[in-house]
Amino acid sequence: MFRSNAPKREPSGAAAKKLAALREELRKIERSGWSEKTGKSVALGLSEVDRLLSDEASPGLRTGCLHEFAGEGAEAFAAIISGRLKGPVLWCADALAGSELYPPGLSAFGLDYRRLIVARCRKPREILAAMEDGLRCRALGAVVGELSAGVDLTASRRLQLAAEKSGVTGFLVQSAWRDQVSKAPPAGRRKIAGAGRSGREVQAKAPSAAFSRWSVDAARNSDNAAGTMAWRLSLRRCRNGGSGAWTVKWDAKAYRFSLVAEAADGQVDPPSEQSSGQRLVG
Amino acid sequence: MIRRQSNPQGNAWWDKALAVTAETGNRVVISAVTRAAELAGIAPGMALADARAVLPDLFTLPADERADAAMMERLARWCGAYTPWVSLDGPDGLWLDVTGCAHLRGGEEALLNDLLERLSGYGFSVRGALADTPGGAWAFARCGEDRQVIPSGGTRAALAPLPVAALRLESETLSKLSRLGLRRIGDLYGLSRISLANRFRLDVVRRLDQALGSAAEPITPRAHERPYRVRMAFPEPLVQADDIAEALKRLLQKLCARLRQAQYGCRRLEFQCHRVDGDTQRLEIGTARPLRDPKQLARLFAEHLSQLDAAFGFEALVLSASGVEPLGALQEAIPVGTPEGDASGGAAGENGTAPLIDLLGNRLGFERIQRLQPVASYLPERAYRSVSAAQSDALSDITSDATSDADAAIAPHGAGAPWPARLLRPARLLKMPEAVETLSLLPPGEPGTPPALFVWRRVRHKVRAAEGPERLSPEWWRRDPAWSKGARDYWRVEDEAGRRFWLYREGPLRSGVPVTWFLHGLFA
Repeated sequence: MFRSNAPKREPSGAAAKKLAALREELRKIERSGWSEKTGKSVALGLSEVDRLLSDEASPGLRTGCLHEFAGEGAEAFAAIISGRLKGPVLWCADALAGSELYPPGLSAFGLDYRRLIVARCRKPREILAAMEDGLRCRALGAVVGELSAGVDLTASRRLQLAAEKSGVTGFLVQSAWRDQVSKAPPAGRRKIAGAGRSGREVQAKAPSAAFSRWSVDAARNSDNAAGTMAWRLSLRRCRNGGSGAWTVKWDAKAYRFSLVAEAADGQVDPPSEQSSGQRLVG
Repeated sequence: MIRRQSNPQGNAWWDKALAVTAETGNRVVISAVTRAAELAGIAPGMALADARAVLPDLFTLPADERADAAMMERLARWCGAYTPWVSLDGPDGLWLDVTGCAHLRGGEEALLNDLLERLSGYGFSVRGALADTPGGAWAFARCGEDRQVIPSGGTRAALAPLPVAALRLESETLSKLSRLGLRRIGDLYGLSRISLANRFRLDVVRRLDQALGSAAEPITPRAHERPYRVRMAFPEPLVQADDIAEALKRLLQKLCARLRQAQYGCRRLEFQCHRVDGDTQRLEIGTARPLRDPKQLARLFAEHLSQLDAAFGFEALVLSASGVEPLGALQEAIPVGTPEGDASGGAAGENGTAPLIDLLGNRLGFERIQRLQPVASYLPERAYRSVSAAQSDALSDITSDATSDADAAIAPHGAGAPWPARLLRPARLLKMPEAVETLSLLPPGEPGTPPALFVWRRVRHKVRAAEGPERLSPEWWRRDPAWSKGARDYWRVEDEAGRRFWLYREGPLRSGVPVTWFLHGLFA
């Protein structure tokens, strides 16, 4: 387990000046100066994570960018953040997957079914093309694309540029569920996903132009109360350099994340005495 | 003057006694009859009961005024072949101003004969007359001999023997005139205009003047209707894709300029490409709402242009709007804050997602771009349905009130959802529930509890916790093979790694019969 909570070492004097100059240079190289113009963010509501993701002015996940989520909770995470953004949401679904989006379940994540436009695509190429068109449409709030494999640098770069230009936020969702649910033979699946199904393994090593890359893996839910979901959230990569891992709970009634205190072994609260058996709640 | 009955069965209606009935107040009255019925003694204006008494096997049809009006409209358009100056006269008449057109058909008489013969050839019973004035023509067509051509200047003399009813007077005025013994138009000639006007107000004088031509009665021609179609022909055939795209762009500009003038927008566009070898290739696009922006339309076509097979080239391109709908004037969007001048996003607010739906719909098919609608059902697979986004605008109310700037208190968007929040539902639903292999560690005395271990798609999941059951019964008023086994008990099950599943077991529990478990949904 690693965490990035260690305080950053502040460079001093000439080094600081040089660093600032270099940062400025980089900013100029970056196209269209998006960080100034579309430098808005959507807060996760977890101050620790939000601060890491963005600067003080607007903490949270940057809008007008492409973000990649993988793991069992990827769709839920995309739905939660889309729900917090303004405007309709284009959901580019894979029509050939064995399972499909279920709107009654999505409402637990704060995403109103009325805001959804679902494009049922049959091929990954169709999904990417629909996503790009969606990311160019300023009327949208967010675009979500369900993909079973990672995208290459060209595709993610195109999507990222489209998002930067319009300010619409894009989410590439590589669900471990969908990977397992799709009809692909296990051998072929392994090629993409590796042997395991956790988000960090689903995410290919291939480079991507996405602003941030997360894995949202299933995590044990300590209290087992109805309506509380927990995920192991790990920020694998982010353009401002942060990374970290947290276990979060989602409260479907208050529509809020909360951080779960971690035990030393990285597990959510120590398993209760009943954990090996069953707990039946009528 | 034209009268035509709708055709009930084949062409044999002409020989049958047939009548069209109309309801006036609470009476059913004959409004039109065939010749056979007329010969049998049925006349327009009779009550249906009386007509049935005369002819018990009279075949009747209800009048369809809208269809009649549409037919007259089509006839009027057809008459444009004789003169551009055609106007409708009441529900059953047409006026044609043939001034300056008669010589094209070999004279006035030939024109009238040609017109009436063609119309009766199409199955209309038709009468016509040609006179100096519209009023005169009206009178001769309805009350004079058929196919009369009144020589120029002879109207006054020819009108004299006709009944006063030929003057388009109200029935009240007519009965007053007949009480005074004034039955023919000629009887009115000798009377002083002042006394006529005193007794009958100005009606009689005005109608008489109109018939004789001393008062003007202008005919307003029907507005000319051009189909929304533009065409471009080329001396040298077009082969290059760029050229075709450019030609399409110009055609679109022309068409859209016309649509803008008429305040219309197109819903369907057809692009016909005529090849030099006689082949015709067609492309069609549809739009989610009326549209007349050439740029947007060009973008919709752009993806399909590659389907065209130019071979030796296209010699003519035709663009036609097959479906148009009214579209008010739109204010051009001022491109603010788009330094790239990107047209796709300029007018986001008003247009909203419609251009996107058009674009995706034309690429993937409009049925694949969907919005979701809740359905009042507890059955998981029936709790919502997808409707084509092009046909629904459920979103309009929600886009405006969507909350949340990042820091604002996060409002529960889901709270407005029609599904009860206490019923926890998975984020993904399997299209077909899948049977899972189970290994129940529990003694058989406790049936119906979820398995301690199950294998789904070759992966073992050890159950750590389970919640349930939630019993869902099939809807008895529907036949659904998936639910034929009876009620289902749904459980939320969490495995060791924290993955959450939605499992169910169906039917009544019987001792000795192993229970099969199915996976139906996946929680996030």
